[in-house]
Amino acid sequence: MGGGPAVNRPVMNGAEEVRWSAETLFAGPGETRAKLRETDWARTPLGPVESWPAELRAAIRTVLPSEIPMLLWWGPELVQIFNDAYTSMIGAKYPEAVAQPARQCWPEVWDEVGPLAEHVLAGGAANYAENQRLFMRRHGYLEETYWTFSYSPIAGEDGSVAGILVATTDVTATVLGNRRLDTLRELGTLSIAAADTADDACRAAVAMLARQRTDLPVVMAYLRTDILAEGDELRLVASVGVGEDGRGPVEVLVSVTTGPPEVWRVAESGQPEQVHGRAARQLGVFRSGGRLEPGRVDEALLLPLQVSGRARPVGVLVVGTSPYRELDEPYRAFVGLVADRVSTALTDALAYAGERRRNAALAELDQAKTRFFSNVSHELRTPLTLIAGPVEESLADGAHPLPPAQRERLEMVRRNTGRLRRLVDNVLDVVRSESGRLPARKEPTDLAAQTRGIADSFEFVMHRAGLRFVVDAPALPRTARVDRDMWEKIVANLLSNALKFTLTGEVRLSLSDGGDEAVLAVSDTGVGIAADQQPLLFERFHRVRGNAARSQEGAGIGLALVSELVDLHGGSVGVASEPGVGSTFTVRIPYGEPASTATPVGQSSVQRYVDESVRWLPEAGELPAAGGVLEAGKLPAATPAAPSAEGANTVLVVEDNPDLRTFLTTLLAPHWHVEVAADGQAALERIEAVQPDLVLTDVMMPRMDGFELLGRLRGDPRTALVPVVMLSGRAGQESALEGLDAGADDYLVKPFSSQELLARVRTNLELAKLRNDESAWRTAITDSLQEAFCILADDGAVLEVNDAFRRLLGFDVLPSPVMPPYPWWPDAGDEPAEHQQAEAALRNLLASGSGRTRIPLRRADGRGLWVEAVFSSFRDTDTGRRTYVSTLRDITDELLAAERQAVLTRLSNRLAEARDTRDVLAAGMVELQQLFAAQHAIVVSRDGSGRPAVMMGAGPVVDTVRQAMAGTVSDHETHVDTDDAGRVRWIGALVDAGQPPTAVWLQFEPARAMPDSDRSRFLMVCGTISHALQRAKIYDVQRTVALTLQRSILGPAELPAGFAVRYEPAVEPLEVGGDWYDVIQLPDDEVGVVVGDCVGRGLVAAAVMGQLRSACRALLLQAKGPGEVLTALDDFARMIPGAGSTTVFCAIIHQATGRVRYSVAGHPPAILQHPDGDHELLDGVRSIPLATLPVGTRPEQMAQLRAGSTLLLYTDGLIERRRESLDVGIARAVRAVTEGPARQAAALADHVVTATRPDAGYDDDTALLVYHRAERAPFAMSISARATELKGLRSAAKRWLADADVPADRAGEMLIAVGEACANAIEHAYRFDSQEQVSVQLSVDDGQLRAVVSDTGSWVEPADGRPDVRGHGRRIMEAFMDDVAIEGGPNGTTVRLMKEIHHGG
Amino acid sequence: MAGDFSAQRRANVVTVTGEVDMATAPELREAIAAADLSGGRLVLDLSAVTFLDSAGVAVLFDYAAQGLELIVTPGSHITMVLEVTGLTQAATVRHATGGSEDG
Repeated sequence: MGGGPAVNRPVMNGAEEVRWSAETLFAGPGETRAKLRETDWARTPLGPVESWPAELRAAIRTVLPSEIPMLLWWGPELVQIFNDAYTSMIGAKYPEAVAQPARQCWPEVWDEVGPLAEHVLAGGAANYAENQRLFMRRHGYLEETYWTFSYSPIAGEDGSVAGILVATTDVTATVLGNRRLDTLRELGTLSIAAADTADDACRAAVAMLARQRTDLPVVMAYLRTDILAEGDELRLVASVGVGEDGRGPVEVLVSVTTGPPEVWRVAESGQPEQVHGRAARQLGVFRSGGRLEPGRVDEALLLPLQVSGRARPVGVLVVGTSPYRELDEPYRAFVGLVADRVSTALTDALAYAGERRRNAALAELDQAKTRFFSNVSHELRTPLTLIAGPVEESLADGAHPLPPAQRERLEMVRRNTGRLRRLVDNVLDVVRSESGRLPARKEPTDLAAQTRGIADSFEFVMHRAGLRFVVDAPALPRTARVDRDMWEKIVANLLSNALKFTLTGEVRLSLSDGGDEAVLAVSDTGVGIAADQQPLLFERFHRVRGNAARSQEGAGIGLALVSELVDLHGGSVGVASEPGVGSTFTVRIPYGEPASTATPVGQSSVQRYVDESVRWLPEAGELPAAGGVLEAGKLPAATPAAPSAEGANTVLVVEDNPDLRTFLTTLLAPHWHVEVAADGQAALERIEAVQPDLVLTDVMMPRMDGFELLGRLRGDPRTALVPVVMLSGRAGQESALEGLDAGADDYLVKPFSSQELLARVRTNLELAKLRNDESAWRTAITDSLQEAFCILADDGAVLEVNDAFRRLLGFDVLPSPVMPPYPWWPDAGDEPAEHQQAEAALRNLLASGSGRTRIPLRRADGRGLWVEAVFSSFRDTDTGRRTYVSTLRDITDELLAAERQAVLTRLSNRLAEARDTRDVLAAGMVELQQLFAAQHAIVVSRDGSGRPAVMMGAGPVVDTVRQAMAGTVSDHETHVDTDDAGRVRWIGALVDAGQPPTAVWLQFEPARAMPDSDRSRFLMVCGTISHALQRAKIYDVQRTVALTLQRSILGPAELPAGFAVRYEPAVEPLEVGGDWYDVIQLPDDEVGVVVGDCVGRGLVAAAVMGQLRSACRALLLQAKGPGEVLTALDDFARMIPGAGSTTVFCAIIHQATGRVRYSVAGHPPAILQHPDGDHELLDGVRSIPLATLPVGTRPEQMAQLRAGSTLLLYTDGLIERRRESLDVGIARAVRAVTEGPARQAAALADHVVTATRPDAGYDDDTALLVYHRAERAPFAMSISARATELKGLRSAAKRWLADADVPADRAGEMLIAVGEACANAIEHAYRFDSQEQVSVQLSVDDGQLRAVVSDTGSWVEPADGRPDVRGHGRRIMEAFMDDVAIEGGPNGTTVRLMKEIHHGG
Repeated sequence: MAGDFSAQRRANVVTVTGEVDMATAPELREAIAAADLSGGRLVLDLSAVTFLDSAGVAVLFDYAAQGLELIVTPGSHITMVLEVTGLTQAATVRHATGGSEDG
C-alpha cells in the first residue's frame, strides 16, 4: 500500500470488494471537493482512501453537502476534511488546511481550541462555544475574530472517539457591530449638564471611549486653546492609550511650528487624514514621555472636530486603530461616527456656554438698572421732603405771614416740589412693577365717572394754557375692574403729556365701549411724533428729541409708566401721530371678568413693544426694513432679506396674544412657512396636521402653557426632535435655565430684537437640520447594518426600523408607530404559546431595559422564524422616559442546527441503548417520525424473492415506495413522492446500502411543503442511523457468538432445589467473559459449587474458562475435597496458557447437614448470611489465585449453614467499583442479601443483582450463585432404577428424616411407602429401560411430611397371573400414608405421598 | 439398628434379619426353599426384620398356601405390612416372646 502509517485498520479483504475511492467519496461540485479529490491521501496519516473505515466515510458524507461551515478532524492527529462553506471562512489557510493536522493548521489558536478538542478526543462530552474570541492568522495578520462552534465526538468502530465534527459560524461582524453600536449609543448619552465647557465635554467623551479599548486602543482629543477666538494653537485635552505612565496630564501644544504636523494640518484643512506605521506610532510621542506601544498600533485616523456655525475645526480627534482588525469601511465609518459624536457634544457644550453667558449679562444689566433707579429715587425723596416741609410751614404760618411777593415765590417752589415728588414716585412705581412688586388691586369701577372726575381736574389747567379741552365720556355698558389709583395715573399722565406737547388747539379725551374693553383716547393738536420715534415713546426715560414742547421737564417716564400700568390690566396702549398735526394715544383696557382675581404681575410687559412694533411695521406685502427696537438708542441695522431657500422649513408660532402673533408671523413669513396657534393645545392639534420644523412658543398662555407644550412635544417620539424656541418675559439666568432644563432648544427673553429672533430661529433650524442630517445618516448607517434594528418607546411603540428589519420580517411598509400586538407576532389564536412567548419577551425587555432573548416571530408571508434580540435602553434626559434599541438576528438556522444537534444527540442516545439492528431501526424510525411529525414511518427492505417488504412500522406501501425500493436505490439521496403542488407525500432514504437495501420512509398526510434544509436534515439523520446500523451489525455478530458461547460454557440449566445462578454481562463491550459458575450434584446428598474468574475477556478467556470449569467439575466428581480440587487445578492451570491468575471459590455443601467445606484461590469471600441476621465472610487462608506461586496443598475450611441460611458466591464484578474499596462493595452485597427476600434463592439472586447494579450497568462481567438452605432443607436424591440402589436411598432418607426431627414411626412408614413407589419404577425399568432414573424428594412443611417419587415410566398395574403383586404395593402406601396420589402419563409417573406428623414437643 | 439382610435356617425355622426389599427378596426365597420341612411346617421368624416391602410379601404369599407360621413383633411396621396385605389371614401369626420390639 505504501504511504504513511494508517491509523485505521484496513477493513477490506479479498472477499469484500472496496466500493469507494476518493473520486466517489468526494464526488460533487465545489473547489473544496476538487481539492479533496486531488489530495494524495496515502501520504497523510489517514492513509489511502480505500482503507478508510465506515465511520469516517459516513461523517464525510454528512459534512461535505452541508451549507453550514463544517470541519471534520479525524484520528489522533486530527486530520482536517471540510466543506466549501468552511473554506470560505479560513482565508489564506486554504488550501494548505486540506488534510493538514489541526495543530499545524491552527498554531495561533491551539492554546484555546486544543484543550477543547483533546477533551472531546478523550471521550468527554461534546463542546459548544458561543462568540468565542480567537486571534487568528487567516489573512496574513493576527486578527481579532469571533466564532460560535461545537465539537461533537464521532465514535469509531471500537466505540472510542475516532474523530470530531466541528460545526462553526464566523460571528465576527456581529460581535464587532454590536460592540461599536454600544459605544456610539453610550457616546450619545453624554449629558450637557455633565460638561460645562468644551474641555469637559471632550474629557467626558474620551473617558467613555476608554471603555472600548479594543476598537479604540488610542484616542487623543486636541482642542483649540481659545475656541471662541479660533486660536492658532491646539492643546491635548484628553487621551487614552498613550502616556499611561501614571504621571498625569501634561500640556501638549500643537501649532504650525510645534507638535505632530498631521494634527495641525487636519485642524487647518478640516480634512481627515490617515497615517501608517512609524508615523502613527509617533503621534503619541508628543505627549511627554508617552509613546504608543510599538506593534500595537499601526494605523491612526485624524479627524476634525467641527462645531456648527464655525468654519474651522475646533479640534482634532486622533484615533489609533486596532492592529488586530483591518481598517475596513465599517471600521472607518465607526471611527468617523465617533468623531461626529464628539463634535456634537462640543457643539452642545459651546452653545450652552454661550447661552449662559448671554443670559447672565442681560440679567446683570437689568438688575443694575433697577438698582440704580431705585437708589436715585430714594435719594431724591429725602431732600425733596426737606424742601417741601419748610415751604409748607412758611406758607401756612399765620403768625409770621409772608409778604405777597415771597408767598408767590414759595408757592411756585411748593408746586414744583410736588411735581418732582410725583415724578420720583412714578419712577419707583415703574421699578416696582418691573420687579414685580406693584400689584394691581382691581375693583369694580364706574370707569366713565372716574375718568370724568380726573378730566375735571385738568379743566382749569387746559383753559389757562389756552387750549380747548373736550371730554367725551359717556356711561359705559359694563362695570370695569381696575386699580383706581393706577387708572388715575394713566389718565393723568396722558392728559399731562398732551398738555405738555400741545401749544395751541385742543386736547380731546374720549372714553368709549370697545366690546370687551373700554377704549380711552387722548388726542391733541400738538407737535406730533416722528414715525421712527413712535415705538420708543413708551420706553422708560425716552424723550422725543428736538420737539417743541411746553416743557422740557420729565424724564420720559410718564408714558412708560402708562404702558406698565396698562399692562398690569391686560390692556394695551398705542399712539397715532403725525408731526405738525397732532397725536392720539389710545388705551384699551379689558373690563375684566367680574370673578377674576389679580392678573399675574408682569404678564404682558412686552405688550407695548408688540403694539409699537406692529405699528411700526410696514403694511403687508412689503419686506420689513428693520426689526423692532427694544432699547432706546440702539437701533438695529437693517437685516437683509433671507433667501427664500429657507422656505422649505415650517415654523409654528404659538402665541395667545393676537398682536404679537401677527407681529411674529409678519416677521418670520418672508423666510419660512409660518403656521400659527393660539395656545399649546391648539398647537398640538395643528402639529397633527402639519409637522413643523421649529416651534416658537410663548410661555404664558391659556389652556396649555409653553412648558406643558414643550413637555408634550418631547414626550411624543414624532416631535421629540423638533427644536423649540421659547419666548418669555421673565429675564434672568434662572428663567433661562428653567426653559433649557425643560428641554427647550433656545430661549428668548422679552424684550428681544426682531433681528435676534430671526437669528435664533435660523440657528436652531440649522442645528436641527444638522441633527436631522445626523439622524438621516444614522438611518443610512442602521439601514446598512446587516442586522435588523429597531427603536421602541416605553409603551412598546416601534418608532423606527431599518431596511434589514423590514427585510427580515417581510414588511415593506410599516405604519408609524407600530403598537403591540405587532403584526409580526405569532397569532394569538393559532399559536398561543409562541404568542405568549413573544409578548413576555416584550414585557421583559421593557422592564429590564437590557439583555438578550430569543423570540419566535412570523414573517408577513406567515413563515415562522426565531430571532435573537439584543437590546438596551437609555433614559431620555428630556422626557425621563426610556427608549429601547434592539437588534434582531435571525437565529432560525442556528436553532435548527442546534435542534439538529439535539436530534442527533437524542438519536445517538437511543441508538446507544439499541442492542441490535432491529433496535437501531426501530429507534431511528421513531425518532424520524417524531422529528418530522410524519403520520407514518416504515422501514422497507426486500424479502427473499427481492420484492419490497415492510420490515417495521405500520403504514401502507405505495407504488412510489415499491418502485423506489425495487429499482436501483441510490445511496445518500432522498427519494421523494410529491403531489401536483410539489408538496411531499413520501420521503425516504437508505439507511443500509447493503444487500438487501433497507430504507426508512415517512408519509405525510396531508402532503406538506418541505424545504431543502428539511430534506438534507432527513438525509443527515438517515446517515446517522446508517452509521449506527453498521455498528449494530458488528455488534449483532459479536453478540451471537458471545451468547452461544456463554450458553455452552456456563453451568447447568437445571439446578437442585435451593440454588440460583445469575450471569450479568458487562455493559461494554459485549464479549464473552471469563467468569463462570457451576453447580454439581454429588453423591451422598452433596452439591459442589464453584465460582471462578479468568483473567481477560473474549474468546481466549472463554476457552480457558471452559477448560478450568470442566476440570473443576471432573475433580469434584472424583470425590475430591475443595482443597484437593484447587490444588489439582493449580497444576492444571499451569499447563493452559492464559489460565494463570484465575480466581476460584470452590465449596461442597452437604445439603442434609448444611456443612460446607470450601477452599479459595484468590477469590473474593463468599457471603454466608444467617437467619438471625449474622453473617460470615468465607475467606481463604493464604488465598492466592491459581498457578501464581507454588502453594503446595490448598487448605480447606469449614462453615456451617443453618436452616434458613443463605450462601452467596460471586465474581468481583458484583462488588468492584471505581474509586471504591472492596470492603464497601462487599458491605453492599451483604446488605443486598440481608434485605432480600428470604427462602427464595431465585428471587434473592434477582434482588442482589438489582441492588448492586450501578446505574450505568456493570463495568465487568458478574457471575453469582445463591444457595438458600430451607428451614427444613428438602431431601432430594436420584437413583438408578435398580433394586440394589434402594438400600442407599433408604439409608439417606432415614438420616434426613431423623435430622428433620420426624418421629421414628412416621419416618418408618414413609420409608416403606417410598420404597413401594420406587419399587414400581424399578419394576418398570426391568422391563423397559435399565437406564431409568428415579428421583425422590422429601420435605416437611407445616406439619406434613411429603414425598415425591418420579420416574419416566408408567405405573404398572397387575396384569398377568401374579396375584396382585403391585396391588400390595399400592395397598401398603395407602395404608401407611394419609394421602397418596399417582399421576401417570406418557412421560413418566409421579407418586406423591403425604403423612401428617405430630411433633412430640 | 437395622442390620444387613440375613436368613438362617435351623430345621424348619428360618430366621430373617435386616431389610427385605426387592434386592434381598430372592435370597429370602432361596433360604425358604432350602428349609428342611420334615420336622414340621415352615416357621419364619420375622421379628428382627427392619424393613419389608411388597416384594418380600410376594415371597411369603408364595409359601402361605403350604402352611406358614410367622413370628412377628406386635405393633411393628412389619406386622402392619403383613396385616395390610392380608398375610395375617393366610398364615398363622405368632407374637415374638422376646420383646424384640424396637424401643
